[in-house]
Amino acid sequence: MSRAEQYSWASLAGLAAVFWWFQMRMLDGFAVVDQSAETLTGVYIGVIVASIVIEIATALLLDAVNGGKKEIRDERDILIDARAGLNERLFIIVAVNALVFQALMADYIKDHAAPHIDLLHLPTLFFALFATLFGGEMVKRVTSIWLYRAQAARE
Amino acid sequence: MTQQSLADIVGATRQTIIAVEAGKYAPSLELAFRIARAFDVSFESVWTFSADG
Repeated sequence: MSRAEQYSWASLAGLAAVFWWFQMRMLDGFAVVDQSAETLTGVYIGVIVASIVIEIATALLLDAVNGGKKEIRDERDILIDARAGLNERLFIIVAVNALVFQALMADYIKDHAAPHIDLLHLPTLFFALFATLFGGEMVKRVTSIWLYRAQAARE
Repeated sequence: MTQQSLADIVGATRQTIIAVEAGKYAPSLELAFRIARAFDVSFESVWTFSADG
């Protein structure tokens, strides 16, 4: 397993851990908990700090596992990263369009009974946007791992 | 020559060399030329083209 693939696995695990922490502070079941802007700012800073700490820890861990050897990133890694980035962009485009479309429809058809995401509610808007970013990153990592595995041969 | 030493010479990872050998990754022209040069042979003696992929 190349170091770039090791990074994808470790980064996916770290991302899942941060998202778990995030959703624990935002959700009660499937409903977004009502919170003040002050609390949300704390969660926002917490997510950013946790993401940075996990990235640094991942880099240090991989350095230790690989005995401090210099990282080699070759053309295959760059190609896989580009394809994964494309899937991430597609996911974010689809997710943002779905959010906008359902918000427009919810206002257009006022008397509908279907559940919808209320983007006028600050905690819901905050959760929806951050969840979209998390989702995009997860799609990127999973695509990378899938491409690495698809090209892997018996060593 | 080991896969690792070839990888070091051409500036790629061992996993990329393995994927190329297994036919699971088509290298760029530059990497293909580097591999041929590493063996000190002509391009055509290392690489062949198949329209089937």
